[in-house]
Order: sequence, then structure tokens, then C-alpha cells
Amino acid sequence: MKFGLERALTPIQPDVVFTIGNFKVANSTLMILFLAIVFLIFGLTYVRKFKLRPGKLQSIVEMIYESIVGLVEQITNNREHAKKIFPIIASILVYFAIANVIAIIPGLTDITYNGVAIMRTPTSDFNTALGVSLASVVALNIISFRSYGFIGYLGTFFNLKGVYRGFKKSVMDGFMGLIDLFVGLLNIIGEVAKVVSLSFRLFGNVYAGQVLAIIIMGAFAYGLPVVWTVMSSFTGILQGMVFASLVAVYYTLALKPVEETTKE
Amino acid sequence: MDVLNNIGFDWQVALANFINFLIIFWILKTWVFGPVEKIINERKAKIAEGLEQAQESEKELLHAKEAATNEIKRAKSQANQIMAEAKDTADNQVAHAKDKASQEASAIIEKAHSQIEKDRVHMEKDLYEKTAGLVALGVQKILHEEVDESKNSEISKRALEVLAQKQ
Repeated sequence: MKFGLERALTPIQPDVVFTIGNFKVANSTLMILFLAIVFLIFGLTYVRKFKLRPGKLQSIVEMIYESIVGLVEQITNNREHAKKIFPIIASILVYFAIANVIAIIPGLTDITYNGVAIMRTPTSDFNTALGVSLASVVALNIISFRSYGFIGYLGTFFNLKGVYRGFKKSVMDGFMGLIDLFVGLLNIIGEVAKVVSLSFRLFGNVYAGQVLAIIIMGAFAYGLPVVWTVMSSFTGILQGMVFASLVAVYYTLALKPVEETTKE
Repeated sequence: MDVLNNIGFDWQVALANFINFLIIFWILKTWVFGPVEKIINERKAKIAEGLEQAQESEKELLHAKEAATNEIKRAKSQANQIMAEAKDTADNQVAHAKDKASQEASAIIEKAHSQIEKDRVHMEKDLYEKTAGLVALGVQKILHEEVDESKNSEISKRALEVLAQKQ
């Protein structure tokens, strides 16, 4: 008697469903587009009708919204900063939480076109994680640039001012300034490392979860996969939260401290 | 680069997913977070306004209560004043009525006295005349003399004079 259910492992490479000219359209891309349509329909048909006296679903949506606001405020520890970065952090959180969970809908990932599933958990494709990580790091550099100004922003990487001031004060302070300059140069590598770290963490967790689910299903197809699915849904939401929280921390570090802004 | 290729990196898919994320970001920001924030802020403003109005109403209620208390006090004092005035007026009127009644009584008594006096004088006069008549009749009987009209009148006159002197 066989209890397992053999299923093919999710390929690590993106599944290209079709091409437009030479441009590949992967199933993760289609899933993200599907999510975009879901969000748009939700916004246009439901959120638009929100009332001052909320219904049940509105209360849930508002509760989630307030929770994210609270999380961002807790991380930034500043209401103004939280307000600035809330839309991007909340988007990442909501997008990843739903993207990681949506594949649970039975049959959604079984629809095929030319033998290729047209839907796939977007985050199990490295390109999705990389795309969002890159977008986040680019956005945080833009925010940092706007917060510090052109010279100030360059100063975070090339702290020549510190070296000049240090040597003006004493030789020891000058050497400390040189160390700061070197650390600043390392920040350039740090920006790349942020992209790598964010994307690899998310992709690794989600993909490993899927592989593990298939392995569990192969060993025991009844009962246990349900438990695993519930757990991986929770993990998916958690991963979204971790990603968003990390980006929020990076944003907070990229912004000019409030004291400096006040002094100026 | 090989490491990236091994884990499925494809710049075209990465670019497409990057753009799609930006679309999702725009949709969420414009059509979800914006309206939710707006409705929450509106509700907060409404609640704040309601609380402010409640505080205002409470203040107004306190003012109204204070005004009502003052008004009641004023009304009470006014009522007391009116009562006092009414009592004074009543007392005055009673005193006036008493005076008037007393005066009227005195006048009636005086009038009665004067009437009694008049009656007394009249009666005395009558009595004298009758007495004089009796005297004349007595004289007539004693003297056996016919007393005519003129004599009777003279005797009566003299008797009256005597009586008047004796009085």
C-alpha cells in the first residue's frame, strides 16, 4: 500500500510560459500580475466603499493596517520617518504575505499552458526576491539622497570631510578619519550585500519550504501535508514580515537622524 | 554570475517582476492604503470632534446648570421680595381699612350721640310742654278758673321758664 504522492519538485529556474518577442514571461510574473489585479479589484470594489462605521471585513483590513503602522513606528521609532516609509514597507509586507500564501488555493498552480504551470508562488522564483530587494535598496538610496542632500549623501560613502577635520585636530583623529573613510567605502559593498542578503534569505526560505512540502507529500500524502501547509502559510507571512522589517531598518539607517535634522 | 544562474537568475524575469512589484506598490498605495488611511483619519477627526463637542456640551450643561441655579436663586429672592411687598401692602390695606372702619364707627357713634342728644332735647322739650300743660291744667283745677288759650300759653311759658331756671 502506498501512502505517498509523487510530485515533481518546483524547478529552481523560472518557468517561462511564453515569450513576447525575445522577452520571456515567467509564471511567477503572471502570478504577480494576477496579484496586482486582485489588489486593484479589492481596492476599487471594496476599499472604495469603506464607511466611517466599519463592517466586519473593513475592521479586519483596518486592524491589519494599524498593525503595520504600529510595526513601522516601532522599528523607526519616529512618526515622521514611519509616515515616509510606510507605503513601501506595507506594500512589501502585504505583497509577500499574500504571495507566499496564495499558492495554497487548490488547483491554482495546476493550471498549465504548453505543459507549464501558469501560476507559481512568486517568491519561490529568485528573480522576484531579487527584483523586490533591488527595488527596496534603490528606493532607500533615493530616500537617503533626499534626506542628506547630494554632498551629504556622497559623504556617507566618501567621508573626506571627516579626514580633513580629523587631521586639522590631531594626527590620531586624522587616522580615525581615514578609518571612517574606509568604512564608508565598505558601505558601497554593503548596499550590494543588502540586495543579496534580502533576496537569498527570502528565496531560500520559501523555496526550501516548497521542496520540503513536496518531500513530505512524497512520504505521506494524507494529513501531514495539511499541517505542513498551514505551517508554511504562517512561515510565508512571517518571511514577508521579516523582509519588510529588515527593509524598514535599512530605511531608518538611510535617513538622516532627527537630531541632526533639528540642529540644521 | 554562475551562482546566480544556478539559482535561476534571469535578468528579463527579474526586470519584469521588479516592474510588477512597482505596479503592485502603486496600486496598494493609491487604491488601498490611501483610502484606508483617509477613512481612519476621518474617523479619528470625527471622534476628536465628537469628544470636543461632548466636552463643549458638558461645559454648556454646567453653565446652564449654574445659570438655572442663579435664576432659581434670583426667582426665590424676587418671590420673597414680592411676598414681603404683598405682606406690607396687605398690612397697610388692613391698617387703612381698620382706620377707615374706626373712623366710620366713630362717625356713626358721634352721629348716634348727636341724634340721641337731639332726641333727648326734643323729648325734654316735649316733656316740658306736656308738664306745662299739666301744670296749667292743675292750676285751672285749683283756681277753678277758666284758662283760655292766651292764659294757657302764658302759664306754659312761665312754667317753662321756671323749669329752665331749675335746670
